[in-house]
Amino acid sequence: MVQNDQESTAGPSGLQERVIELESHLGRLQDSDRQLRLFIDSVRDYAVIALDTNNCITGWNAGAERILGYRESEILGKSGSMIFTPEDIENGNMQLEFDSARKTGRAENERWHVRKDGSRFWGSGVLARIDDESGNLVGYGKVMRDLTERKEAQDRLRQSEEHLRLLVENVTDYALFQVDLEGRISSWKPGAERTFGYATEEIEGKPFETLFTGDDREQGFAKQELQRARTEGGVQDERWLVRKDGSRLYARWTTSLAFDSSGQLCGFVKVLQDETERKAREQSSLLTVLENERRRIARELHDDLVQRLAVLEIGLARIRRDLPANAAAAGTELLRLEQQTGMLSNDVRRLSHQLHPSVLEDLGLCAALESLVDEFQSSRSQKIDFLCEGLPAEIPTSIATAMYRIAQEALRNVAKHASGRGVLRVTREGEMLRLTISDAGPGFNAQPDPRRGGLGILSMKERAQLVGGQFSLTSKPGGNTTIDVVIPVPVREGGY
Amino acid sequence: MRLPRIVIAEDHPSTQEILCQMLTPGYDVVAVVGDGESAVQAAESEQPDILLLDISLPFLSGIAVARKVKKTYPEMRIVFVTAHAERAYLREAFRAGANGYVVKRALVAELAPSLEAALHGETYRSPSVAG
Repeated sequence: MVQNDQESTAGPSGLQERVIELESHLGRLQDSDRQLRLFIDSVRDYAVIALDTNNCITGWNAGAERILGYRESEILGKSGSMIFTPEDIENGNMQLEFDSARKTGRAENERWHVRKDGSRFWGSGVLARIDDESGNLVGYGKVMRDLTERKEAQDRLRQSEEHLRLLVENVTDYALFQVDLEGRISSWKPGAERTFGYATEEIEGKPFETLFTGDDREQGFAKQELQRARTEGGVQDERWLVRKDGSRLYARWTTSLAFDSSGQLCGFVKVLQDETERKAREQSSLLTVLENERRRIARELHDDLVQRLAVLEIGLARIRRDLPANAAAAGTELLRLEQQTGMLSNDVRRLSHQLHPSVLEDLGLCAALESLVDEFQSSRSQKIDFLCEGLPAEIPTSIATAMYRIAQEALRNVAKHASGRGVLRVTREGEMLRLTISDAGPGFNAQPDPRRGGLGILSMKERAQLVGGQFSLTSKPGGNTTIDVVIPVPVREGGY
Repeated sequence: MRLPRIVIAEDHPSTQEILCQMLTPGYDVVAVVGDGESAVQAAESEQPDILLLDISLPFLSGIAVARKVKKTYPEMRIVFVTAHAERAYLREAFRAGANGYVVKRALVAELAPSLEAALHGETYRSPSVAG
């Protein structure tokens, strides 16, 4: 810079030198300005745009031309608002950008801009305030890159993440949850809550084997499953699980591995479907097939074998009756044959009865139950009060069979656990049949070990449920036990 | 002297044959049928003194036949001849109006006394029935 004191002390030659020096300095300045200009022009990845205080475009580099499509000659002097979207102009965002740059020196510039052809691109950069030497605003410089692709990729990612989140939150047909490496539930989605009845805060952090039955817990299936998932990269399983209220559901699920962003295994994702109804249908048809087949074999045994044996017995008895008085030895032999035939006949009849009680079809539910009570009492001193009244004339075989089998199992329990007088009662209550079996104790725990008699209770419950009925068992240790079964039945007037 | 008239309802041919043999010459077997519905018809058309009924009969069980027949002909004697030796069957048979109940395997010993009892207005319960 020129300094007066230097100027005053310098001679004419010094002045000339000084002028040369200034000229050279100016030249260098012009050179560096030109260099800067060339640099700015050659930057093609960035749009560099200069604007005056009236927002008119005063500078336009090659990058701006490439990104926005306008040539420098056609855009210089035009309003800077040309490159903003109508929405940003309308809602004041453009003004805000300029205001912010004016007040603070720079403004973030992350928004959609408009190209010459009307298409849009995501411009990312800054708008900077330009001052002269004395700090007066002379215009603005806008520098930005076209980051449309990155922006779109980010948007897609965010959108797909949002979709996934919505999907997961809204899937209620499937129970989705995550398990950490230690087997604790780490995330619990609404579908899982709906399926199992646990709220997120109740179950998160608990071991996922909480959902398993006691038996499966003891067997360590939960741990085995995670181990298999690790080695095989994912597993499928299906088994009975337990809801919060203790009821059971039959579930089928897949376990997949979950990895964190660095690719480390961080847990397991479980997608589980409640298939209790399908299982029940399957079991129902299985049980029906089984009962039908048993009935067929029982009939075959009774109607054919037992009849033929009876004929044989009659024949033998007649020969023995008609033997001459002196044929004592033959008579003894015949008696022995008769007795053997009789025992054979008894065995076949018992087998037939065990397979399926023909009394159920031949005589109806009341007679069949009464016969059960007879059998029970004939083999022990325990007495059962029997009452059966007001039953509809026709009860569907499936329901009659279910009630018969439940009563059979219940009496077996009475025989095992009770010593006092018992009651077996079947009544009709509107469109319901009620079967009650109670005893005077001493009873057993109502939550028995399934491996010791509990299966009987499960099977009674299952049989009741399969025909749309409800089963309940109340028992106090040392007290009485009552089994109560209520089954809806199509009512036709008339009775036994 | 008129022989007592008997209708046999039994679906097992061998047993039909044995019964016929055993009832000759003391009884007049007027019809032998093999199912429940025919038994009701024969009972109505023949109006026998005794209806010998099996329990497990096609179409209509012997128990149902007895109920029907006894409604119209309360005087007709009904004797069950059956392979069922369970008390439930015997109980239902008598509830349906039976006059006698004989278990097939004990036929030789029990048939004659059961028919005699029935003809004299008494009832006969097979001692072979358990309980």
